[in-house]
Amino acid sequence: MNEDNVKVQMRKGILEYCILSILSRGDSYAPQIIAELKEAQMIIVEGTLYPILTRQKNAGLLSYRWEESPQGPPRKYYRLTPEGEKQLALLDEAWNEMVEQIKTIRGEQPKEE
Amino acid sequence: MKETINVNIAQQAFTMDMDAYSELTKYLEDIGRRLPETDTETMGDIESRIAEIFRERVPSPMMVITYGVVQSTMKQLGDAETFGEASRPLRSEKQNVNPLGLPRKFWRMRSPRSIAGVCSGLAIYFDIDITLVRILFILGFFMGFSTLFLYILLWIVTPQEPAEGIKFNR
Repeated sequence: MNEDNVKVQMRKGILEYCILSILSRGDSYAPQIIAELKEAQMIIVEGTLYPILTRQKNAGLLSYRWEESPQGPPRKYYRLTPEGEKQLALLDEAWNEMVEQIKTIRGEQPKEE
Repeated sequence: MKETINVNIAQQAFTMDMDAYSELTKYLEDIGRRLPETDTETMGDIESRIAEIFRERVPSPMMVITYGVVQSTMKQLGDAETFGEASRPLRSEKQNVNPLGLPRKFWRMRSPRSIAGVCSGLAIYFDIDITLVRILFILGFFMGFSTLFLYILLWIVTPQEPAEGIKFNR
């Protein structure tokens, strides 16, 4: 596995977390979510986002409404459901834990006694 | 001068070059294969996005969507391969489809055949001249390559082309 591939796999794992995180700051539509993810260099290509959004919606983490857009056809605005917020809290916790674990493993932190 | 086609993508009308159209059709088909069978929603979302990108790149409805536009749009969305879900295996491995719409499969042909139909099967599969295949096999044999052994091996392992009347795309 080359370096790029490792990074891609890692990002894939946390992409769902990122989407929930972005939506926790306010409702959004796909191209806007994409723009944020691109800016954070989490994704390079756009397409991968759509299957994840559908899956999260089907899992009850997101809901959407149609909203008119100033130009072009109406847009799907996604929002977090209470279920999604719960999931996000879980993931926040898991993420913090993981960061601590990695720190411990890398020896950047004295091990708790 | 080029032939164009009018298409409706996410309820928007576009005029596309024929080559651009067939490229996009192929792309969408490939993505569709990688999503769960019931997931028409994601497909719709992706088509909406494609329509949006087309409008961004070609603002005038009078302008034609060219092959280049389709290619850059595909680049922005990512290869079809990226839609394969890591946790889910691809529904089916890519099927090689010949222009007749039948899956390309390596059969021993019933006809034409001289011995077991291996050469004609190869010729049809790779779309090359059957005589060339036969010459290579015979030449190979006389030059000391084990093409005779290969022939017999292929004879054994390759299924025979189904008899006429049996649909072989199912």
